[in-house]
This record gives sequence, C-alpha cells and structure tokens, in this order.
Amino acid sequence: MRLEFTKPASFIRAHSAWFIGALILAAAALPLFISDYWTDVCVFWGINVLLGLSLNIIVGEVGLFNMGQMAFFAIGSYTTAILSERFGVNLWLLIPISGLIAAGAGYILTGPIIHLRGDYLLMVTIGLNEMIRITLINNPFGLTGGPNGLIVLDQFRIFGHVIQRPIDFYYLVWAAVALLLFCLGRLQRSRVGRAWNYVREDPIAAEATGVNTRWAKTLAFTLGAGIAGAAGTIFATKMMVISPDSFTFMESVILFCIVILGGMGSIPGVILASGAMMVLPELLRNFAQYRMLLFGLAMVIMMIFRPQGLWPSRRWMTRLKEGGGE
Amino acid sequence: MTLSAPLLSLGAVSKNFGGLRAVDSFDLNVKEGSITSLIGPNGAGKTTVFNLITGIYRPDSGSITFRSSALIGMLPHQVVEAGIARTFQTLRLFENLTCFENVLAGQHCRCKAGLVACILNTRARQAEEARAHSEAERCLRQLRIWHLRDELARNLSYGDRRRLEIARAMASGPALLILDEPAGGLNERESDELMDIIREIRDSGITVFLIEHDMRVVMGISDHVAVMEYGRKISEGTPEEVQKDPAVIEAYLGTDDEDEQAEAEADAEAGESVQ
Amino acid sequence: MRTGVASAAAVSAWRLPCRVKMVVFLEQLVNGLTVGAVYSLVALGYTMVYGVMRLINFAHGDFFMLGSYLGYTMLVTVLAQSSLPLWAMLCLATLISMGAISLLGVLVERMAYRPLRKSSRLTAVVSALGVSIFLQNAAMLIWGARYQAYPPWSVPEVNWAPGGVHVSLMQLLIMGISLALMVGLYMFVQRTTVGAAIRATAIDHDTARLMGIDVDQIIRIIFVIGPGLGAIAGVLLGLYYRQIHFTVGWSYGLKAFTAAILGGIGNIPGAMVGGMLLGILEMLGAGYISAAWKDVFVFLILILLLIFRPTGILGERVAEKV
Repeated sequence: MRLEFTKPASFIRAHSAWFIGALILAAAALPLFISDYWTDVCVFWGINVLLGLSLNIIVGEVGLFNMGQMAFFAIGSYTTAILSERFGVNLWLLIPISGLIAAGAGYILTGPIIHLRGDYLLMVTIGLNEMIRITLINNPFGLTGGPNGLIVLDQFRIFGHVIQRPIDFYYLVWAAVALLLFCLGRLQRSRVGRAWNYVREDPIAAEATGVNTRWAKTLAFTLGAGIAGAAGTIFATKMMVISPDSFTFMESVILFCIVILGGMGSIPGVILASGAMMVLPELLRNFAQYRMLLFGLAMVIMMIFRPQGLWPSRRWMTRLKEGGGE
Repeated sequence: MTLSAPLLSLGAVSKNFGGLRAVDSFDLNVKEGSITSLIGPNGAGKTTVFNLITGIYRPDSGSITFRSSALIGMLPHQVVEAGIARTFQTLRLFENLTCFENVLAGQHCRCKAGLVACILNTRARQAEEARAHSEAERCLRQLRIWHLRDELARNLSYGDRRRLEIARAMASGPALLILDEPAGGLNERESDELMDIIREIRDSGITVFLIEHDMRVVMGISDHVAVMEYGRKISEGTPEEVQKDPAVIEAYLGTDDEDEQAEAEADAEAGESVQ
Repeated sequence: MRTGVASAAAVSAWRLPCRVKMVVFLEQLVNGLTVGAVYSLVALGYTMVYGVMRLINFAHGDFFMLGSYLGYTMLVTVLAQSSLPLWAMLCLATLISMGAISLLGVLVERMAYRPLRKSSRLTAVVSALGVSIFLQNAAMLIWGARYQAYPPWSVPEVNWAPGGVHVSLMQLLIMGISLALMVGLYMFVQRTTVGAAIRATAIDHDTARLMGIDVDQIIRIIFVIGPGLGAIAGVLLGLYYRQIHFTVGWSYGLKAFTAAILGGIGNIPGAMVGGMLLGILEMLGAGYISAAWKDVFVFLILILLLIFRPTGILGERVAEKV
C-alpha cells in the first residue's frame, strides 16, 4: 500500500514543472466539459480546499489541535455580509479586510490558550467555535441577523464582468487556491515553515534551540485564521445567504478530519481528502444520507490501517509508523 | 586564565520542587575559554542547574549572569539568542527531519526573515538562507557527520545522534556550549573522539560547560570541575584537586574503580527515591 | 422545555420582592443540581477513560445519547404493551438500556481503540471522533432527525412546593440515583481489589502489567462502567426533559467534559463535584444573566479554567519533566 502511493508521488516530484503545467491546463479546461451542477460541486470543493489548507497550517505544520476553524470562517463571512450590505464596501477589498479581521480575532482569541497541551487545546477550540456560533444566533446589537443569518447581494465584478455563474466562481475559487498553494509552498521551504515543523516535532527542543515557539504557534494560528476569513468572503458571495448553521462545530470536526485523513502537513493530501468529501457523496447520491455514517467509519478504519493519511507528507509518515505518542 | 572575568556566573541560586530543595544556594563561575565540568551523583541537581541557566526553570532566588547581563526571566529561546546553546541528557532531536534540517534549527535565531519576506523570497532572505546553510554545513563537518546530512535523525546510530545534537547547538553560534552528559551511552572509542571534538570546540573559542558521569572523560578534558551533592556544591577545583578531596571521595567517587559502578547505581536509586 | 419556563420566570428575577427572589434562587439551585447530577454521571465516563487511557473519548456523549434513545424505545414498544407497574417499567427500561450500552462500549473499545493503544494520541482521538460521528448518524438514521418525546404517562408527575419552591419527584429521583451511583462507584474503586487494579493501571500500564494486572480486562471494565452510567444518565435526562435528539450527545458531552475538567480530569470525586458545580453555575447563569447566553457562559468557564487551573479543583499540578 505504502509503496503504491509514495512512488507516483516521488515521480511527480521529480518532474514537477511538467505536472503542474498539465494540472493547471486540465483544471482550467475542466468546467468547459462538465455541467453547471458539477462545476458548483467543484466550487465548493475549492472553498473546502482553502479551508483545509488554512487548517493544515495549524494542525499539520505546527501540530496544534484546532477543532474550531469554522469560527474564523464565520467571522470572515459575517464581516463580508455586514460590511458589504450596510456600508457597500467593495467585495474585492473585503477579501483582505475579512482576512485581517479573522486573523485579528485568531490572534486575540488564541493568545491566552496557545500554550495549552494538545487535547486541552482541542477542547478549548471546540468551545470557541460554539461560543462564536451562539453569539451569531443571539444577534448582538442586531448585527448578525440571528438564526436566519444575513444576505449578501453584491457580486464580484472584474473589468465589467459579473462573477455569478458557477464557471465564474470556479475560476475565482481555484485561482485563489493556486495563489495560496504558491505562497504555502514558499513558506514550507523557508525559515518560518521549518520553525513550524520544529515545534511540531518537539516544542521543548525547538525552544531550547532558539526557536520562539510562541511566535511560531501564534503566527500559524493567525495566518490560518486569516486565510479562513478571506475564504469566508468568497463563500458568503457564492451562497448569498449565510446563517449560523453553516459554521457548526460539526463542520469544524469534518474539516479537522479532512486534514488528518489527507495526511497531516500534506498539501496534496488536503486537496484529495476534501475532494473525496465533496465529490464522492455526489457520485453516490443514493447513499447521501449514509454519507456521515460512512465518513465516521472511514475515520476509524483509516486510523487503524493507514494512520499516515491518504497522501502522507514524507515526514509525518515516518512519525506515525512508530507512534510513541504526543 | 584566573584573571579573566567569568563568562557565566551563578550566585546563590536555589530552586525548590514542592518540598524538595533541588538546588541549594549554588555558586559557580565558568571562565571564558575553559572546559568546566559539573559532576555529582544522580539526583544531585545537575540537570536542574542547566535548566535554570537555559531558562526552562526559573530560580526561586539567586542570580545568573552571562557576559555581565542577567539571564533570569529570559525565555529559553532568548537565552540561545544571548549566546548559550545546550544539549539534552535524553536526546531531543527532531526525529523526522533530516540531519541538515536539524542543524538548521540552530541558525533559526540568527535569521530575521518574517512571513512576508519568506513568501516574497526577498534578496535579503536568500542571502540569509545561504548563510544559514553554510553555517549548518560547517557544524556538521566539525562534528564529522556531514556525510549523514540527508539521513533522517531517527535513522542515526546512537553516537551520531549525540553528535547531531551537539552540531545543532553549535549552529546557533554560541559563546557558551552546555552539554548534558555528552558521553552517556558511548563506547570508549566514541568518547575518545568526542573528547577530541570538545577540545577542538574549546580551542575555537567556545566555552564548554558539561555534566558528565564518565570520569575518564571528565578528568581527561576538564580545566575545572565542580561537584554537587543534594543540590549543594561540595567541592571545586582542577581535576586533580577534586579527585583528592575527601568529601568528594566519600560522596561520589568511591574508594576504587571497581566500586564506582555499583556506587553510581546505588546513588541512582537513592536519587530516584528522593525525586 | 422546563428551562424555558424557569428562565422566563427568572428574566425578571431582579425586580421581584425579596422573598420571591429567594424562591427563584432556590428553584434555580434545584434545577442546577438536577442537571448537574446528570453531568456528573456522564463526566465519570470521560474521567475514568481519561484516567486510565489518557484519551478524550469523544464517543462518550453518544453513548449517553443512545442510552436515552434505547430507554425511550423500550418504553414505547415492548414495555408499553406489558401490564407492569410504572416503576418496574422504568427500572427495566433503564437496566436494558444500560446493559446494551455497556456492551456497545466494550465493542467500541475493542474495535476502535484497542488497535490504537500504542499509536500517537492524535490517532486515537481521531478514531474516537469517527466513532462519535458514526454513532450520531446511526441514531439519526434509526430514530429520525426530529425530536422524539418520552410519552407523558412514563413520567411520574409528583410535585411539591415547600415554601413555594417547586420540586418534582423526578428531580429528587435524578439527584438520589446519581448520588447513590457515584458513592457506589467511589467505594468500588477505593475499596475493592478490582478498584485497586484500576487505580494502579491509571498510574502506569506497564508497571500494572508487571504486578500481574490484566490491563485489557481493566480497560474493558472501564468501558462497561462508563457507558453504563452514561446510559442511566441518558434515560434520566429523557424522563426529565422528555425531549431527546440525536445531537444531545455532543451538547451534553461537551458540558460533561467541562465538568470533568472542572473537577480535575482523571479524578472520580472531582467529576461529581465538577458536574454539580457546573449544573448550578449554568442554571444561575441562565436565571440571572441570560438563558440565550448560558452555553457561552459554560464554555467561558471551560476556557478560563484551562488557562488558569488546568488541573481542576481537585487535581494535582504535575510539572512536565525535561
């Protein structure tokens, strides 16, 4: 099993330029050949990839258990809805604004909890997620519209072209994914990315080697929250109606599991796993109601037989084989 | 040598854990350019002293001065930045990273590139990265493990793992290198090589402060030895002076070489029951 | 439903005359103790598993939820046809549900946790999440996504109002049964040989094994007791609030876990104290601050607790050894 997966991976790595070129061409051509319905599925897949990658920074690169990522996605989406509808702020501007506000929230909220041990951090982030969701339902200052949520009627415009058809959103979302992949790839190979991995491997050794672990963790959390927030703008515009139901803690759990199932710290793994999560249930419409049941089962089976994930990153694979605990 | 100011000086440092006084008004000066050893039975508080110096614990009282600035209150990474690098008694490598990546960790605090610079891959970042790489290479070569640079740390032999940890510490360009039992678990040939390396490090201008149980190593390389028992310093001096001190013989060294092992083991048990 | 009534009465609690204020306070206290007793029972399951396996058993809340559903099903199907007196029906429903959930607990441990006992902590946590999602969706497929209600005849409607403070038989039953179970469990763990083996296993698996303790057997016992207590709590809660839903596992599970942390995780008396305290805090929060914000209040307690005293009220502080 292991070899079947690692061999093509190393082959792809060796000829990466060609593969990336071909992949971009194929992705660009894809919506011309599929129905609007399937294009929409791909749009949501792309949004999930954005979210998965944002969480992957926190969970995969730094090894912080965060099960409240939807809170930051919600902050981004609601920021977009409020600023767009009430103040008519341009949506293109709202992508960085939502990102910054979510990042700020991430920075402030995680400040006091960032030092907590793995499973405690997990519980606290669940708590944060629920607190944000309940706050949205309770409609503070009449800002969030309560359980019914808010509407976003504005649309992205580019050179006079309105982004409204599924195919428009397809290009918007996957262009965002491509940009993010480029940046994350740079980061992974840099001082910052290495610092994250040192912290994941052994926080005490990292600190004693001169890595400011608090800085590394906070940076990852803030960046992850910011990316999720920016993705919220695209999500809100695509959905046109957002409500607290979209940001439940269960959604956070699923996102967390996508990162784990894909293979922690593995970018292709996140893309693959979120694709499986979005596309498979569509293919098996008859089983739609069993989707989550099978998902739960798959999680258990994966952890027992393939804990390193669908497409493990080289490092994480060797780590989980031996186990040895946190 | 006696005239030069101490690089590191501990003044009446104490640390309690619950009811246990792990370190009891401990004084020590580490002279610049020396190899200083801290010895004592297990549970004497030696590693605690190291943890106090490197900022992992905070002393209850006393002062720790490095190059005439106070260390107390600094976080471990700030201590590294100030110029003190350390290794651990139980090795703490980044097991799933390559040797090269492990050693690059030491250079982390000598680089400045932030998030934006890393994404934009600025000229300054590239220069800094190149410098870090050449520094890491130098350390790997100095510890004679350059040929292992692309191996994962976990795949190394025990002796090489010890060296890798020293190389990682060296990579931060320290003025003082703190080694916690560097010869622990090494065979005679390996510890001979290690002694050569430590002398070489000292000769390159880095002060070395180490904890060691292997008396052959301690007596072979130390310029200065301090002995601890139950958190207190009971003796200090050159290796020859310490060896002759009756308090030390009673506390630690035993009467002759054959007894040493048994004694150390008995002490280890006593130390554990205290902890 | 009852919380709705209670909090409606309490919204204006500030403006009431002094004696009425006292009554409102006492009623909220009784409500809090009742809910708290349920939290305690569920918290025991979290704390025991965590104590012995260092695992947050995310599926535990779902054992509780399934226990509630099974009790409901027993009552409305088989037992409704019988001519047994009500108390016997309730006992039978509780016992059957408890037995079935204990069996499920052992099964889950065997299938989903034991193969991962030597893996990293994260792997086991993800597996537990998987089990939880599986059980929750199984419940949804079996009983439907809508609320189910315990039939009105199944709840003994006996109420008192000493001094104007409303207390129902159900509330007394919940508090009494919970207290009895908790004291029994405490005695079991403190006084029996098996209890001593459980305590030894909690400290160190390998040493326990060297002492001749069958660690697998101990873990199996933990997974009989924990889910069993959870199932009892589930039936009691169903009888109290009448309505049950497949998501109560998560919401109550989270609160019970908070209670376990509050008392000091891994600590059995801690879970009892933590549960009661959380129930009271929650109900007073609902009464005097705002019912809509009461869950925020609970999570705030959890977060503040983990920041300032992660070892809980009865836990000991353990320094990480370097």
